Amino acid sequence: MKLLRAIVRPDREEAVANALEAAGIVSLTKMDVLGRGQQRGIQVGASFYDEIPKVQLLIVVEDAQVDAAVAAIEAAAKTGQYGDGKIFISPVEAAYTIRTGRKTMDGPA
Amino acid sequence: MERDVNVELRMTSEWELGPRRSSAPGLLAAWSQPVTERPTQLKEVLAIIRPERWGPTKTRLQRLRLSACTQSRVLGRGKGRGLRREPGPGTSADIRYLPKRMISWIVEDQHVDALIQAILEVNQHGQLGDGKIFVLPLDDAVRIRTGERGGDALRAQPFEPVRGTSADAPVNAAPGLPKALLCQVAG
Repeated sequence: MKLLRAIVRPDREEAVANALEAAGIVSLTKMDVLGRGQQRGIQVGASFYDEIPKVQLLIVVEDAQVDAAVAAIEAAAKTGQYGDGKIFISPVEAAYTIRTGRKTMDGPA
Repeated sequence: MERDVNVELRMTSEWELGPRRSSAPGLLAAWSQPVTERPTQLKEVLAIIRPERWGPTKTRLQRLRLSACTQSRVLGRGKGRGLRREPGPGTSADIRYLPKRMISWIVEDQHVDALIQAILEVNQHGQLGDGKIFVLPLDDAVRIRTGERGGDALRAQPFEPVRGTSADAPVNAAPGLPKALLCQVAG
């Protein structure tokens, strides 16, 4: 199991969710975040913004689905401009469904 | 005032030598022992629960002395794809995302099971949307105030009075495994 943290443009969030759904990945958690990348923010006229609003999506998928998920996010979030965002992938050792209390273990952590 | 002496010793040594480098014998060595000899694995426990269950969860976890957490309001959906419903008078159509509370605890390896049992206990209603818990590996932690690393960054410091007057609040909690948690693990 892997945790994908995708930081995308707020206006692409809907498209990303739909693309993931089309790839069979329905469950996700999203949160509004502020961030900046290597551009150190953006200059608009005289004002400089170093905190740009983004949406962070948290998705936990099986190892076999990671590539499909990344491809779906990439396809939907990509504009080719700076600020399209990042996807971070980290391991998940165990997951519990609270409703049933059932534990899903990953292979050797 | 033995305790105060220790505080002073420890603080002096940290400022002069940096943490973990004390060579002084006796009391000071005893203080620094857990620092050097207890490398523990850290885990992040990430729970996404119903917003209204966050209060009870917090209360329950205070009894485990696991009150340190970071939480945020998030939106999410599971396999139910939010709420599916027919639009009609007074009801809107589907709700794509439901408000949830996401909480992250950073704990030592041996506390993970007790924490998860407690979360399940409070949040399990047997209905769709109860949420998920994920356990993630974590490499290190740093307490910014002191520069302590690993498990030491998480442990309550014995000489530090913990603010708060609630009976649940840990008062001078000993380092290492708190008593309440020991009972929980054994039970």
